[in-house]
Amino acid sequence: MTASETTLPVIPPSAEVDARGTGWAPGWMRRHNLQLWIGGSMLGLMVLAAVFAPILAQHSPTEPDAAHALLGPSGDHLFGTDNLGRDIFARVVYGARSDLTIAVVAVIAPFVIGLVFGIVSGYFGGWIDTIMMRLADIVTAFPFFILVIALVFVLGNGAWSIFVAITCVSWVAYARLVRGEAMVLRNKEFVAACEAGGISTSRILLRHFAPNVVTQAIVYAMSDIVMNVGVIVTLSYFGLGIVPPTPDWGSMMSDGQQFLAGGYYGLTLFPAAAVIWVSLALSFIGDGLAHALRIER
Amino acid sequence: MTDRAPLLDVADLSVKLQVGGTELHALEHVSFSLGYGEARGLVGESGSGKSLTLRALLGLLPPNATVTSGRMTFDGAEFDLAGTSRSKRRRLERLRGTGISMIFQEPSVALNPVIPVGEQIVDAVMRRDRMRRAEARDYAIHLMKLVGIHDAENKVDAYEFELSGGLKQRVMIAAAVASKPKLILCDEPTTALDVTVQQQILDVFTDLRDELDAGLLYVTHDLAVVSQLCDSVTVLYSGNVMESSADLRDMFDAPRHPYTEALLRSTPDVDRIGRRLYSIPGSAPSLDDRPRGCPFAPRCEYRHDDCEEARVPDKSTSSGREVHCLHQVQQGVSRVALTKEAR
Amino acid sequence: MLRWLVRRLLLAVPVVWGVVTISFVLMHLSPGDPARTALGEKADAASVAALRHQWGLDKSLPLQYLDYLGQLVHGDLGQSLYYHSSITSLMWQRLPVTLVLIVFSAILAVLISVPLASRSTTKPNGAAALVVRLFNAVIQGSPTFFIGSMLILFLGVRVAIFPAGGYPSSLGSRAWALVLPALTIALSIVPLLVRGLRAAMIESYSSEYVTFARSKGLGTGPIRRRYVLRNAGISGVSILGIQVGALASGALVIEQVFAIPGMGSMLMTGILNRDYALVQACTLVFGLIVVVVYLVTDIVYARLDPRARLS
Repeated sequence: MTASETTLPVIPPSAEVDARGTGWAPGWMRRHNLQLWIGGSMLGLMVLAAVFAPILAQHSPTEPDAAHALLGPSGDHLFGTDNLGRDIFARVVYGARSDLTIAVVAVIAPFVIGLVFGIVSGYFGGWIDTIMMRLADIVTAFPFFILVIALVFVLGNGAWSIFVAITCVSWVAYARLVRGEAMVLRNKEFVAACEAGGISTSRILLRHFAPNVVTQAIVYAMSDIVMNVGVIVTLSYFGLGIVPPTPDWGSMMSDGQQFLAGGYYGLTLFPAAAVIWVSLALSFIGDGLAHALRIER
Repeated sequence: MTDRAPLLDVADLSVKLQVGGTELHALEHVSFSLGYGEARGLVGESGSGKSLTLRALLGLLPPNATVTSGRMTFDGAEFDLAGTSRSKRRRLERLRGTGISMIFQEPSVALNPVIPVGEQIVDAVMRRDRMRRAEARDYAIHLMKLVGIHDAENKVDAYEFELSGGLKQRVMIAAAVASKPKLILCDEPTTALDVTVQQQILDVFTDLRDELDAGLLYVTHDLAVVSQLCDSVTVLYSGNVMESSADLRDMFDAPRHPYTEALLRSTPDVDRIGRRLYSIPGSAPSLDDRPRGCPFAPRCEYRHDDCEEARVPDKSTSSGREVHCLHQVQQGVSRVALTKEAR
Repeated sequence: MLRWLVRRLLLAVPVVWGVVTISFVLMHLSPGDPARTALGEKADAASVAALRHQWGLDKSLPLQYLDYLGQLVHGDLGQSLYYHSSITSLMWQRLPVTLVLIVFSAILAVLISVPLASRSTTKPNGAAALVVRLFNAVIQGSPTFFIGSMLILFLGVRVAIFPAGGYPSSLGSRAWALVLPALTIALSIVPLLVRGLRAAMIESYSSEYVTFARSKGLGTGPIRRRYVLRNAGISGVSILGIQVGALASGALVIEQVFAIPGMGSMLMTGILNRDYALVQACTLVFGLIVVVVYLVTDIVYARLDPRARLS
C-alpha cells in the first residue's frame, strides 16, 4: 500500500503483518505448536463452562440474597458473592454465555462482508477498488470504539445494536487485509492461466481466491473476537451494552468497582480474569494458527 | 612472498549450520594463506561455503552458524575463530574496519536506505578518529573520487536508492577502504551487476591494489574474474578445499584436481569458440548427504573405490600447492578431454 | 515534495466529506424520534414539536443535510440541549484537554514500547522475551477501564502517589493528575506498538546493511542507534499514527473513569443524556482529528524516510 492509494499512513508490510495479530513465541513453544494447544484448551474450558453453566453453577446468577452479601471465596461460593449476595462464579459462567455469544456472532458478518469486498476490490481493481477503499478510509477515520458507541447510542441498547454497530465498523479491517492478499494473488501466474483457459471469473474467485485469502482473515478474526469482547464489556461497563439483570462481565466490573477500595476485589477481578483468560486463549490460538498456516514470515 | 610471514593465515576452519532440526557441515578444515598485498581468489559454486568463509573471518556469521574449529593469524596476531568467550569475540570485532574490511555482493541491500551514502562511507572511521562532520564529508568525497565517482560532491548526500548498481558498489568499496585496511574481503562484488559495469568495478580493484597495497581475498564463481585480478587461488567444493595454488597460472595451466579441471573446462573461453562447453555431470551434493570421503567423488570421472572411504589429505608434491585428491590429473592424459572433446 | 503534499491533501478531501456525511447520517439512523427520545416520554407534544423544529427535523432530509453542511462551514456545531450552550464554544474548552491527553499517552507509549521491543529482539528466545510476550497478551486482553481502575486502586488509593482522578487547575498538579490516565491509554496501544517495532527491528537486525555496518567496525551501540532504531523508528511513526484512533477511543473511556473534562467525557455525557447534537458533534470532531493525524503522520514519515519522498 502506498500513500497514493489510501489516506492511511504508510506501514511497512512486515510491521503490519506482525501488528495484525501474530505474536511470537520461543522456539520450543513453536516446535509442537504448543500455543495452539494451550490456547485451544483455555478457550475450550471457557466454552464448556458457558455451555454447562446451569449444571456448574450451584446458585442463581440473578437472584439477590441479602443475607449472604460480599462473602469471600468458599466451598459453597467458589468466587464469593457480590454486594447483592449473588454468586460470582455463577455470574461469571453465565456472563460467558452472553458476552462470548455476541463477540463470536459479531465476527461472522464483518468477516463475510470484508471477505467479499476485499476479494472483489483486489481482483477487479479500478474504480470499484477506488470507491471501496475510499469508503474504508472514511470508516477508519472514526476511532473504532467511538463510532461503535455512537451507533449503539442511536440504535438503542441491547445485543442486536451491539451486533449491528460492530458489523458496520469492523468489516473494513477484513476488507483491507483480504484486498491486499487478493492483489498479490491477482498478479500470480495461475490466475492468468485460468483466465486464458476460459474459466469464469466467479469460479476463479471462489475456487482460487477465497481459500487462499481466507486463512489470513481467520487468523485476524481471533484478535477481532478479543476486540469485540473488549467493546462489549466496555459498553456494558458504561451501562450501554447488555441490559441487566442478564449477567455480563462488563456490568459486573462496573458494579464491583466501588467495592475495590473496601478490599472486596473478587467482584471486579473474577470477571476481569475471565475477560483476560479469553483474550489470552484467542491470542495463543491466533499465533498458533498463523504458525500452522505458515503466515508468519 | 614466501620469506615473509603471510598477512593472513587461516587453518582448519570448520563451520556448522543449524537448519531446521539438522546440523550441516558447511565448512570442513578449510586452510589457506595470503601474503601482504596479495590477491587470492576463493572459487566455488554457490553453496560451496566461500561466502561463509569470509564471514567467519570477521565473526559475522548468521545466528544459525557456529565455528567449530579454526585459527587465524592476521598481521602477526593470533585469533581463535571458534572462541565464544567475550574477550575473544571482542578481539575479532576490533579487526573489523581497522585491519580487515568487507565488500558485499548486493550493494542495494547492504546500504542503509535512510542514511546518505557519504555518511555510511565514513561513519566507522569518523567515530574512531573523532573526525568533525565537515572533515568527514571531505574525506568521503575524497574516497568516492578514489573509486572513480567523478561527481562525488553531488553524490555524497544521495541515498542508496538514488544511485545505480555500479555506483552503489563503488560506494561500498569506498567504505571498505575508508579505514585503510590491510585486507579487503570481497564477496562476489560484481555478481549483481551488469556485465559492462562489472569490468569497471574490476578496474577499480586493480587500481586500488596498486594504490593501497592491501591484500585481497576475492570470492567468486567466475574464473575469468580470478584470472584477471588474482595472484593465487583456492578452489572450494562443498565446504572443502579441493585445490590451492600460490601461483594462479600454475593451476590454470595444469589443474591437478579433477574438480578444478572440470571447472576450467566448463568456463567459456574465446579460444574455444564453437566448441560445446563441458558440464559437470550430476549436481553438487546437498550438505546433509555428503559422502564420507572426497565430496566430489560421486561426480568425478577419475573416481576409484578408495575415494569415498575417508577424508583426503593434502597430496600435493610441489610447494605453494595443495591438492586434496588421491588420483590426480596427470598432464596429457586428461580423461575428460578424451571422453568429451573427442566427440 | 510539494506536488506530493498537494496530492495528499486532495486525497483527504473526500475523506473529510465522508466523515461529515457519516456524522450526519448517523443521527438519522435512530429508529424512533430523536426529539421525543431526548425530551423523554412525559414531554408534551408542543415542546417535542418545538425541538423538532429547532433541530430541523421537520424539513426534508436533503434540506437538513444542506443546512448541516452550511452550519459546519460557519464553524457552528449546533446547540447542546444538556449544557444549554453552543457546542462550538464547549469544544474549544474540551478539545485541548483531550489533545493533551492523547499526546501525553503517545509519548508514554513510545517510552514503554521501545525498550520492551528491543529487549525481545536482542534475545528472542530468552525469558525476557517471553515475559514481554505474556505482558503484551495480558494487557491487550484487559479492557482499558479495568487497567484504569487497577492503577487508581494501587497508585491512587493504596499507595497514594497520584490523584485518583480529576483535573486540577494549577498546571503542575494538572500534569501530575494526567500521568495515570495517560499511562492507562498508553498501555492500551503498547502491545501493538511493541509487536510492530519488534518486527521492524528484527528486519533491520537481520538486514545486510547492519552486517555491512558491523563489518566496517561500528560497535553495537552506534548500530542500534543509527541503524536499527532509526530504521525501525520510521515504521514506528506510522504504527503510532495508525493508533491515534485507539488513543482517542481510550481517551473516551479513561476521561470517564478519571473524571477528566475532555471531549470524551463530553461525548459520554451526550450519550447518557440523549443529547443528539452533542454526540454528533463529538463524533465528527474525533473523526476529523484522526484524518488530520493521518495526514501529519504521512508528512512526518516522508520527512524521515527519503524513499517516501520519491512517490
